[in-house]
Amino acid sequence: MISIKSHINTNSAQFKENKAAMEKLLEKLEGHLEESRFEGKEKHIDKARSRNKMLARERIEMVLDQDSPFLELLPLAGMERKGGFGAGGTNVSGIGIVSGKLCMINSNVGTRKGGSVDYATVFKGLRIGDITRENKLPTINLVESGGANLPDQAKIFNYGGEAFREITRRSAMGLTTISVVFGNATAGGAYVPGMSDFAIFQKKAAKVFLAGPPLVKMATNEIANEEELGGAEMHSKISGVSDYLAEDELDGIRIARELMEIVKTTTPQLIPSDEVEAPKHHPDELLGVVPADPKTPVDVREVILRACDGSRFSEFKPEYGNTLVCGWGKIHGYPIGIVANNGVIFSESANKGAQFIQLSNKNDIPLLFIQNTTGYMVGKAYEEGGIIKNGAKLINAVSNSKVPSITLMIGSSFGAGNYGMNGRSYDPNFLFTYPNAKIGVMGSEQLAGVMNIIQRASAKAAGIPFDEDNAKVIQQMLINEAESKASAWHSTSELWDDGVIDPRETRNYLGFALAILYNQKIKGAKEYGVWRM
Amino acid sequence: MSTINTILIANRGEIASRVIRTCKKMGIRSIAIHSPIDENLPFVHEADIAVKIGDNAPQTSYLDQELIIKTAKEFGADAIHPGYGFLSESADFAALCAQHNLIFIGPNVEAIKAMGSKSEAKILMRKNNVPTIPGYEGQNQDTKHLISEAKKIGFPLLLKATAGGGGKGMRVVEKEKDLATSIEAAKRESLSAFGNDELIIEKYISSGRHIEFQIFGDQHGHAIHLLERECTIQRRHQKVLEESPSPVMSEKLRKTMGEAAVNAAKALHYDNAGTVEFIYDDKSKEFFFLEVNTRLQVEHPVTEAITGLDLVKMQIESAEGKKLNLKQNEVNGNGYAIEFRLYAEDPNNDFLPATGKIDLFNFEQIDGLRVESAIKSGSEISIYYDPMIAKIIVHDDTREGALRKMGSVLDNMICLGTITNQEFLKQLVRNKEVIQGKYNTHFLADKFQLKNQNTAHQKSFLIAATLKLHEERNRGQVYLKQIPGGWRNNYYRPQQESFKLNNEIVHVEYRQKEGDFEFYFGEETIKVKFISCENNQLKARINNVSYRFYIAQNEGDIHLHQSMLGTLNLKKADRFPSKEKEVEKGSCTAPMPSQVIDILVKPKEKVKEGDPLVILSSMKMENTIYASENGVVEEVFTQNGENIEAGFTILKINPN
Repeated sequence: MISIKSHINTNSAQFKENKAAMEKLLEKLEGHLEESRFEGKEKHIDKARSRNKMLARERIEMVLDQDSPFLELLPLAGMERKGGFGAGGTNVSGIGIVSGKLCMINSNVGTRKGGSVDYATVFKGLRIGDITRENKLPTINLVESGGANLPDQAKIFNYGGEAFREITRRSAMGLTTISVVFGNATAGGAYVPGMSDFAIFQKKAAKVFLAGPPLVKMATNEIANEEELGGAEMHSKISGVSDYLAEDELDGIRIARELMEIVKTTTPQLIPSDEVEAPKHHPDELLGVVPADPKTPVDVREVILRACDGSRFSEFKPEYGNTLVCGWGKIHGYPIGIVANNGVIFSESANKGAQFIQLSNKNDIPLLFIQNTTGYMVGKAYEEGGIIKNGAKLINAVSNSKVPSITLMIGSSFGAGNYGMNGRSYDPNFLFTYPNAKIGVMGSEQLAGVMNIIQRASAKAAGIPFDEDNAKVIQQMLINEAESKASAWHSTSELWDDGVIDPRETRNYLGFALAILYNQKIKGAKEYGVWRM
Repeated sequence: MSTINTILIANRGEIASRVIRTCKKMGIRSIAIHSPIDENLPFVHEADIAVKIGDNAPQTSYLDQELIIKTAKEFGADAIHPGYGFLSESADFAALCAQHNLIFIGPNVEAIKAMGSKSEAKILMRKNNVPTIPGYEGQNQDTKHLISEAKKIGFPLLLKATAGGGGKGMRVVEKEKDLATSIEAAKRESLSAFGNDELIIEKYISSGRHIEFQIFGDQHGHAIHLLERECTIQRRHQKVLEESPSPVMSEKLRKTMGEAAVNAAKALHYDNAGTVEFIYDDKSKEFFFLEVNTRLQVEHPVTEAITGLDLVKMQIESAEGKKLNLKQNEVNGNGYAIEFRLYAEDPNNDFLPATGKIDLFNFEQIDGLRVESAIKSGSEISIYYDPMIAKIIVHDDTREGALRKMGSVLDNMICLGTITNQEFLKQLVRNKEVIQGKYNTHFLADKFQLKNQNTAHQKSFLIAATLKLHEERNRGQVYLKQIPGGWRNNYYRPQQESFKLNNEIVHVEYRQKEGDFEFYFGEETIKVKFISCENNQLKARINNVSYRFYIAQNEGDIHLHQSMLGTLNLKKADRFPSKEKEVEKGSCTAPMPSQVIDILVKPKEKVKEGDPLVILSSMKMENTIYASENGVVEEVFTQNGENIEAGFTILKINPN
């Protein structure tokens, strides 16, 4: 496989401009990530410290193997949601290595709102559950949560149950969940350890009951203290809800790690060689390669050659349907099929993509979709050329593809292009977004323009004079609204992606995800829907 | 005259290797004997054949005379070389050899007998006008009698094993109240080491220099001396540094002392190699006879270095009955030679012997360096024998040159795996008073202070240890090998490694960024480039300085060496420490692996703080454990003769 060449001059004004704009976005990203690392108010943290408690992220650091990388998922979920708990909610989730095994780790932030669960935290949990199941990962829960955030309860009650259902369904699939309880796990929350394969309760700290002393008094007039109702010793010695009685936090984590040694997990299907060639061009250059303004075009090969090992890329049908670049390469030694937009999708591009996806399925190679498209080509000639049926082929191929996949949004993601390119609703195993990415039915200006045309037409039909000044104001409002709803920040807040990423880290994200994808047997699709010919 | 064709070496370690080397040079077959635990030591593999005998306790192997004789006969030896220590000064053994028609490579039995008893030696010397120290060397060895004789001499005084040498069974008694226990202990040590518990008592000369003369005689009445060695610097009455010529030696003094030494030899009709030891008073310029060691000394290579002689070859030839053709006026010293003894022992803890595996032993051979090592990488230092690892002998034109060379050799010598006195030796060789030759036998105890390691050096070692562990984890990793260790997409805090350093927990924080590392020590950030890690060598660039570290690991212990920075021993601290078992109040534990010699108390017995409770022996050194508080002995968990591990609870005292 040959290395492909870059045609970008890193000293050009364009490059520098892109880089400056991207760096601003990265500052913003770091700002948001800092919000996500907020683990509660000073007084709550001090209180935890005084009781020798570790904070949620410290617990993760201890449960992980030394030097294990950790891929935090959905760190900014809920960041823009009004009335929510802010970026990431009250749960830190991600994948790392525990006792030599890839493992999903969820850690309740007990020092932030008592670890109670808001709307975003619930949905983050559900997405994490999907990732865990699809990637066949074992789970370690580090539990300390006061349960549902009561003001949100109406919105989350129904969805919340899914989390418990998923623990036992995963167990049925052979995917183990280990829960270590360091504090509250009450009411519904009691079913987190309750449903787990292994439950470890910390002495004099875990409180696991369906109802606390006040509610019990209300319900049955019984007077009982917390330790009697749900203490670790009671559950370990009497009820059997707890399987292991941990002396302290570290001991609880130690037991969880010990159990992970025993737990059967999937195993790597491919262990890449130690020597992996770096790209010929440093991935840091991606900051200047990717235009901050999605209207500025970029040859997506410039991104590919900075992501693939040795910049090696074997392009499929390079002379055909060239707004969709397809081909195979390796990232961190893992083979991958790449489908990447190079502008608007034409019929030829869609057909080529559909064929490439089938080939990758035939050869059991996972897929990476790099999205940067304003959608399928529109217009008379293109409708006549069957852009719908050709676009449908791409969607058919993507929908029925059985190899695991990753989607990376590096610019525009508009219209059916999002679907054909394995958008959120097509269940990629992982979906990551560059901070400059835009997502929506169409671009904000197009959207406002379309609205303008429709309103003008309806005014004309009704015989009402069209108020140009008012229209301009409305148009700008629409643009602003659409623009903010289309931003990566909104997207990640709404959990449409699994994280907004620093482009310089692209290889590490993809390599990490690929290690996870390659941790189970990859078997491509044999069956597809009917191809409209 | 007889010809020796096959020699059995009734010894172990470096001296066995040393004798084998000369045997090979002379075309003599060598037979090694070894105890089970010594089976992998170099000498076993260097001999033509090696015979495993007895058990690990020396009484059952290296000291079992019958067994050794039987082995020698069985394998056709015609001579036995006893080395030093063990049976080297046993007249009984020499006689037994003769009975079995085996040549004992050493002086005649009468000479050994005469000198084997320090008391007889002293009397004989006094008769021959060799100046001796006032003291008691009588036959009456009853403890009460010894106490009364001791009181006559006055304090401080020195108890010595009549049969002894090498500091064993030797004790300084400062106060009358310690006399009885010291006498008992010296007797026991002496019995265990030499099979004889007789003691002599001497006035203790507190400000002396220890100067000895190598003597050599043949069976035909010819005896000469082979110049002096000074061995003043001692710890626990054992030599650390031996050199020749002595820094205080003048031609005149050498002549006087040398003549006294030869007179002593002649008075004994001495043949073979021996050493006449004197104590020299720097102030009064007087010297007194101490003893004659009727064997080859540990420090004989110093003499070999300056005289160019092979003393073992001369010993063999002398035992064969050959004439010594060397005349006194032909013996000339060339340059300066110094020997340092590398020991497994803890200079920070009263030179307490250490045990353990030497994971890595390595040095670069340079001109004028001779290393006599008992071990190789992977050898075990056991509790049964002397913990000497190697003798390092350096020869140069001048004393300053020899000391400088010794410093460099010590810097570069890699001996990792257990606690050693290497750092101590390095500081010693660069000590101002040592360089000036200004010291007496109390130098180490009174004047020398071991300096703590520079903390900047400690950081470099901590970094190296962390990199080594990181690298090992990296190698064993299956997943995510291409992603930097500790990679975070939402960075929270650095990675941590924890070590135990001098019983304190030290945390090291670091972060890997692509190939490079940042280490954080408080406010300080140190940039580190990991270069390579092959076998025991780790190369890293720390703040622009490239270092090569040698690292040896043994379970949780990590031993590091860097030629400019020295050596550091660390322990990896558990990430998840098991609940610390509280030390039970009143329990008395063994400080090191030992054998229980004598339990001095019984259950229900009342003890006072400072009372001796139990006597342990490790590497032939006795160690008394005292009560730390008043109380009643509740239970004793061991018995005399048992081998116990470090940390073993010997007995429990119920405090009152």
